[in-house]
Amino acid sequence: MPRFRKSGSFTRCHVEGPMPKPGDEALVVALAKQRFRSIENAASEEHSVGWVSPGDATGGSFLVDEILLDPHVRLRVRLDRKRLPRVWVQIHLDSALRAREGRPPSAKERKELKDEIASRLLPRVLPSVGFVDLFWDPKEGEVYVFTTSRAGLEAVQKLWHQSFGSRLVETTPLELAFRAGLGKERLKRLERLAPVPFVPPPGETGRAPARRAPPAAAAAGDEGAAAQEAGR
Amino acid sequence: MTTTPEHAFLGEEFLTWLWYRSESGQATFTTDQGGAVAVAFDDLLVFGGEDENRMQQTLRRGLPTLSLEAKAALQAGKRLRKARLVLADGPEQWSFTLDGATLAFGSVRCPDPDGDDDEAAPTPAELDCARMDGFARLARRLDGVYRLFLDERLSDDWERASVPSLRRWIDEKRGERV
Repeated sequence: MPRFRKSGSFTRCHVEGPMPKPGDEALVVALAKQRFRSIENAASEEHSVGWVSPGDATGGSFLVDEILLDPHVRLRVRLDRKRLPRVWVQIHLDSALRAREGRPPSAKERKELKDEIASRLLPRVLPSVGFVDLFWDPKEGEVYVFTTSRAGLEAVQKLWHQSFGSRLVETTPLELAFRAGLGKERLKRLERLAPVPFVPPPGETGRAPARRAPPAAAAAGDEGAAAQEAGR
Repeated sequence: MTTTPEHAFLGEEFLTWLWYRSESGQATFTTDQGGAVAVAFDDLLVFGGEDENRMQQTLRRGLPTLSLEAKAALQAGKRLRKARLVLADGPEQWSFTLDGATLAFGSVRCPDPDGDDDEAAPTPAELDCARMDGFARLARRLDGVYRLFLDERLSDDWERASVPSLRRWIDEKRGERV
């Protein structure tokens, strides 16, 4: 079994909704129901997403010892995608069009021909394989998803919901703030918060006044400004 | 990631606040988990304008926080969108890139969990556990620092004291030489 990664990029999520306990058989059953299914020889499916265990990339087995690593639960998602090389479709299409006799095909006929070629070629294409590692911290209710790609994260969120019924909610600055245990007053402020320009717009005071004050101000007897400048 | 979450500016302000704190000698934080953690800026800064679709400026290698380009970006009102940080807790050290808008962690390097040479080698399961724990501990430590930022950001002192201090810090960079 490959060791868990020691570096990488991750997105944090928290679990909303009930989950099976890590030691429950229900957890492994839920994973197995949504196990990865190969599209290697599939005639029409172009992508497949499902659970695999860290030690078996086929999705054929889920060994509890590989998954339950107290206090964490180690999980892995496999994402396969078949992409038909456009140039191959074009070569076959051109060849089919040359073989036809009579009037040129309509747009509809041309599309049907292209679809037929695609369905004929698709089973011969090997899918690209991708994995997303994740681990669940049941005590904190957090899941660390080792991808920062939007498509990868959404695929994992969808699979999670299909498997367990609960939702994986991505951690954002606002969401984390709401979970930080702030008091009522601060939560109200949080909702009304607007970004602060750290460089104030022209006309608004905010920069160090001593630097902005024209020397003439002090010379004209502006003692306050002069004193402020001396104090800096 | 292409979509920007609501209140993304909060994470970007957090990054700028961390930068200010690190340059004003206040980058050691005692979090509600009890320990003191220190944060330093490393070798990546990414700036962007108010509009996320506008041009980004990336500064890499060396100490970009000291560069003229970083100062100019701050003074032009650009927002710090991403930075590579080092977080230390005692002898342990994590380096990672933090995305302000999403708080996603990039290219994280955790302390080596393999243990001292004197100790018995960990079993594969123990090693996996320790590695996962390394990521989780980083997140929790940064949560503690973020919580301190929120305490300040949502207090009356933010407008009264913190914003003027940050603005003064940015303004004073005009006079600095690299």
